[in-house]
Amino acid sequence: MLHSEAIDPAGVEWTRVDEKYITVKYITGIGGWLVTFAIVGVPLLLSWTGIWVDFPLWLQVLVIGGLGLWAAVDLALVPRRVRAIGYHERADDLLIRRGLLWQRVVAVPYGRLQYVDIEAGPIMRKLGLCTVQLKTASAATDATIPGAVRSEGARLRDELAARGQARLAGL
Amino acid sequence: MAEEPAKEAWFDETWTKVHPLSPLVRGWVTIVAIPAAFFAYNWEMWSNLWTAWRTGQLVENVQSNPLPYLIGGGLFLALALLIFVGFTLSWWFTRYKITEEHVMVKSGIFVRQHRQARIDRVQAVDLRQPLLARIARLAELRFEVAEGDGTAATLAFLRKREAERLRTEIMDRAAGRLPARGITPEGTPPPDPSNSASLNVGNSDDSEAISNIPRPSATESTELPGPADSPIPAAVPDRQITRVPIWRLIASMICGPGGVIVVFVAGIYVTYLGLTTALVWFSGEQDASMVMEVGLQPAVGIPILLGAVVGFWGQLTGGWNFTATMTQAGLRLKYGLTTTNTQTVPPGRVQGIQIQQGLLWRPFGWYKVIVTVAGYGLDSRTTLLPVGTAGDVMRLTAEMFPDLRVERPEQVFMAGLQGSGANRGFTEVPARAALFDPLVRRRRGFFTTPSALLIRDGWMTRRLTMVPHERIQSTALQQGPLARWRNVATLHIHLPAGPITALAKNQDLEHIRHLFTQETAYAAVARRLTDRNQWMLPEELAEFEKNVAEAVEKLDDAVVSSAP
Repeated sequence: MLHSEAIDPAGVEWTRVDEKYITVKYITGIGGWLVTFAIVGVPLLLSWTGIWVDFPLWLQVLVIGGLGLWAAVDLALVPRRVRAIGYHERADDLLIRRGLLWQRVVAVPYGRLQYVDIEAGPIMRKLGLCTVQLKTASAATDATIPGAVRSEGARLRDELAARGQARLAGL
Repeated sequence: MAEEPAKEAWFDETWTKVHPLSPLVRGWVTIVAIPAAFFAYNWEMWSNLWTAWRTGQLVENVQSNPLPYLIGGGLFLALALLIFVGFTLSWWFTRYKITEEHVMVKSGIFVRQHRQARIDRVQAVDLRQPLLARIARLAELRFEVAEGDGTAATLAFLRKREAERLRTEIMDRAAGRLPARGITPEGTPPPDPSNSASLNVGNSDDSEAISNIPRPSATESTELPGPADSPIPAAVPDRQITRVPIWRLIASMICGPGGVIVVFVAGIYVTYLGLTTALVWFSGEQDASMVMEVGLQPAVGIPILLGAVVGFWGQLTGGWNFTATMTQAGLRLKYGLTTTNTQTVPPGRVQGIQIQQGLLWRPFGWYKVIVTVAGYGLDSRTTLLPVGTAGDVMRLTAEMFPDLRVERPEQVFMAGLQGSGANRGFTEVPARAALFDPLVRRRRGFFTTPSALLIRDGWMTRRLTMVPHERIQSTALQQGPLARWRNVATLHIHLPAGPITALAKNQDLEHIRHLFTQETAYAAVARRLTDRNQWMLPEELAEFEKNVAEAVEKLDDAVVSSAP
């Protein structure tokens, strides 16, 4: 069970997403940081080889150190961030929460669902996970459950679609 | 697709052609632009030709060397023929058909397009008349539909009278006031219900299958008092809600953001010109070149002014002769300088409404009203009133928005528009979070009535956003680290795509949690009730409102008992 945060509605027990999603986030996170370091590294390399202007040492240390620290904190928070993702099916709506520092709880009424999407990239597929995406008439809804086990994702989709049909309120 | 049988299925006699002048009205730019470009491109040659014609030398030239003239003339004719054939084909291949269920439009010569709009899902019908269409007494009909991504079906162009008649009938049917009978083009007798199926013979798309299935609404309409095939119920006389005088429109534009920018830029200009003249005056001729060099800089202001002019033009055409009339099909807005627009917004399709007042409008007590209607998106049609008085706004809101169901709605309304601080039920950003909103703190709050959520915001430009509870798509509660430190949170209300963003920012955590609980519960009530597509069927509306009232009452007890 998740520790209840200030903005969580009372009496809600969150269902957490699969722990394997942490691996996915690690892989994508490390990949993203490698790209960042590669981009930052190009001018530095040019500077070291003398092709381009000389950056002062303090700037080099500051940039690399700062980015390194940021990357370390970001990656260290991955497990907690994944554990902060949760959802809860209520009688008339689905609640989804996410975020450690910037927290968000969204309530999507079943009657407002236009469709439910399931997607999975190559890494997610390998680990048997998927992302469930809920769409309403509003683009701002942004309700996704990343890292659900595939069977759970399929169950959610069918369940939500069925409830959406039963409680369709139009626009 | 190009084979003979497929072509036959593409349309038959039941499809009506649009007015033959339509391609001309739509494509007049081509007709003007191509020759214009042609002439402008080699202007010298044409003027030489003209002098040659005047002096009579042309005849000699043609006789001595006719080839270039033949080629030129031939090309010109070919171009004219091409445009003509293109227009004729495009007219020939554009057809529409209105069945029990759908408005269908087919168009395109090579790439064919089939648009269809379900009549009971029509959100709003607009009638547009560009300048040329006005001269030719034609009009374009646009149907905004809530399905999919809100792409519209357009009928362009019809005779104005025919377009108006179709609009009335379709709006009546969308509103559920007319039984779902076939709408026929003017002149043809209405089809007998028994052979309405034959209308669809040869129609290969799936609409045939659909239109033969009786719709639930068709059965509902027979339960109406009076025979199902009775004509349109006694027409309610149209009431004019408001009209915007031109002086007010222009004054409001000067006092608006565009006007402020223009005055600002003009001020800089004048100061600058004054300074440079003074400099020339005092320092003499020798420094004039330096001054001239710097003098080029005011050119920077030109794009800004150009932008302002474009903005002004938009405001002017969007508000020229603006009238709002309540008809039985909904609110009819009519406006336009060169292009006359007539749009009909049914009250039941309004997802949210926002009233705005800029700083310089305050002394005059003017307001602007915008709405979110699914399908309108962000374009200029979302303006319900470009500039009006508080009285106009109140009358308009009373028509377009459900009753607030509070003791003194006007006072709540005015508190939302002008008030500040925690009074009359409105909340404010708690003092402990003043550092997030030092200026707007006391204006930023919300108020819930049994029927709607009111959010007020804005320090310089005041805004009051009103959303009926049952229209809310989803809600999200958000909190960042600083907000957590000050124990506040922000609630986002999600509406379909439109100009309105509804959010209650940095509110006290207890208040906002209560609001979140309340809104999700209201949404639950709303969605247990029936679909309100046919929003104006009086019985249905009454039933709906009764159900909402009952459910809300129960809910209020529950929410109040669970309130902090």
